[in-house]
Amino acid sequence: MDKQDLPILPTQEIGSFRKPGYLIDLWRRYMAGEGVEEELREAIRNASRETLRLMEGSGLDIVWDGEMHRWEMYYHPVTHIDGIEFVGRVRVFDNLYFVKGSVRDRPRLRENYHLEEYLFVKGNARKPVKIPVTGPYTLADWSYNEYYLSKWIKGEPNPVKARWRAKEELTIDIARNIINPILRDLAGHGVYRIQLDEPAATTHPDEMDIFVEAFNEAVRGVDAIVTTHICYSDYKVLLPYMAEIKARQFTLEFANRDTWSRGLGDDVRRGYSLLKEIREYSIESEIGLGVIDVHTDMVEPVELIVDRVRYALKYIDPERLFINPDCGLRTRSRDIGRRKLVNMVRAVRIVRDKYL
Amino acid sequence: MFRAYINGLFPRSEDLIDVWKGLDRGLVSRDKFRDRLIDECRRVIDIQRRGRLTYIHEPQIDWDDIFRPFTGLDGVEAGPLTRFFETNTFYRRPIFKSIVEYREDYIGRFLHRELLEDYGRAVTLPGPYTFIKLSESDDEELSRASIKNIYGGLCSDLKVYGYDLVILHEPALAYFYDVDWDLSFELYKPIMGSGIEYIVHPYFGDVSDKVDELRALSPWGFSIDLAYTNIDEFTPPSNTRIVLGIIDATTTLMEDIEHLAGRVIGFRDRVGIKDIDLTNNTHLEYLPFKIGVAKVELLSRLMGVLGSG
Repeated sequence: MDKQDLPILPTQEIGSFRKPGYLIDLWRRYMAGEGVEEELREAIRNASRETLRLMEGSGLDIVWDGEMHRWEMYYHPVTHIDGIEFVGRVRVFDNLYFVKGSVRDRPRLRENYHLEEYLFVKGNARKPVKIPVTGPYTLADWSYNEYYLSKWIKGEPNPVKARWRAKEELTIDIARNIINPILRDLAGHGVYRIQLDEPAATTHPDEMDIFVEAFNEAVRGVDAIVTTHICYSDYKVLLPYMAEIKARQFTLEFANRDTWSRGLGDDVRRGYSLLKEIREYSIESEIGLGVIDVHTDMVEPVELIVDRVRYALKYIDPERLFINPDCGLRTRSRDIGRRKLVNMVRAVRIVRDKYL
Repeated sequence: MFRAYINGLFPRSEDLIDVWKGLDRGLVSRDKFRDRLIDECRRVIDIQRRGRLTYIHEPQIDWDDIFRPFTGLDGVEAGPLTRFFETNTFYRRPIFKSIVEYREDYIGRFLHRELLEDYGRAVTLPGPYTFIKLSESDDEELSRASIKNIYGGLCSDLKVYGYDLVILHEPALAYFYDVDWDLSFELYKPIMGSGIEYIVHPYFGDVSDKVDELRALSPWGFSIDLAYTNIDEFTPPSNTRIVLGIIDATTTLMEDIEHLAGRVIGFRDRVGIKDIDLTNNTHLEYLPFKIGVAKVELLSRLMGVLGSG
């Protein structure tokens, strides 16, 4: 499947989608060690098929199964990597936590943790698919770095340099020894479109060189279209590096920064001001345009989404524009998520029919 | 003379997290939750007491973020989730809507001073400069006036409650290259005039070139973050108290005690400073509970190796 087989302004989701209640229960019981592996596998397959039907029914052009095979984007890879040990929960905000790992040895890939799910999704999908894969920089940044830091901290008197070197070494090792082999293997099994998720990309502006080097190492020699999704980030930090990053598409979050007012003016569409700068930087990559705010239950009216897409078309050629939510919809109910996707697809069809 | 204490928000244990989530889901009663929370506060206090730290610090495990208690005051609201500097932890940005008048005894409900009796008591507050830099308002004058009101009231309350040491978290003074020192001095006035002992605690940056200003902000001393500062090249004036943020709360890597002790002694002997405090560089809540506890024990062992000075 190629982009040529897609309509203009292809619609896609980002990756995660709310799991059905029965699957969440089984995931929790499985992680609590209750020995429900078989039931969980069956539930995953059911939920995966249900979610694919939901995505296809929404009218999306490119689909995934909402990451039913994964508990979460960090936990899933780390359970398949030797050298990183889970050490406990750390707060993200309020009463929300993630289980954080600590790198205690050089990370080693146990097996391609995405192959089974890809083969299942590919075998069950009726539309082109895109597989999301957590990127090397995010895996490194969301882990404690004991192994490499212990090496550098002894020989380097400047603690900032020691931490930078340790982070660089860890991230490049993950890129070369974990992510690149996975991407190559996926491409060898016919994967056409891979999305490297890098929400941590701009967290440390001084480490952008590490991020770029790791990304390009991860995709080296991969015979597939590789895109990247970067959200809730400082895009001003990202902009000067975009041309160096070997990604066919930057799938970005905009709606979260925008107003809910109708119109095509800069004031109401201020969430999309980055697009002007992308044009000024002569970035030639495709842009995945976030038009749905995933952190509210309010469903965007079709007309608002039409305005957001039309505004984007002032700066990005339609051949380079994909339309998607800001991020995965896992924090919304399945019904709200579906309604948001349906409106997004309706809006894009209106733009295709009336404005192109 | 060496002193040792912890600062900032302490992590919640795995068990408390489960109980808290149970409360959110309606599976745990408020009374049971409250009992469990108090048990955990006692546990965090006991870890410090057994470690014979100089001050016992408030656990502050029930603070959702360092600013959140203050967003309950009239005139300030909890805004959008915002990344806290370069961490993967987010806070609700305070938004000043109208001039905030601090209500007497307001902060008391967020503290557990009844559990700290018979000990030297310490507590961490957001520093006023970081507070204004990480908050939002359409009118900066309104923010300034509000923050001065808040700190005036806070200091009075803390004196009445009998806190012996207040640690003011000021990452904005270290992280940002450009600091508006005039604004800092203005915001610190209510604290300076309160008579309360306070430490200015910058972190997430190297403050080697801001020493004079930091000394002027607090006669009681200021901190340096050893994860960002090369202690071998840091030379403050000898007539000030320096607080070494020597326990790194951003990594699970456990520091080597002998190595740390050697660095502290080497620093003291080189710069001739008599009064050195030892503490963690930032919130221990960036670590899982078990490792947070291990870091407190490490601080205690370091104090044991160094003695009182």
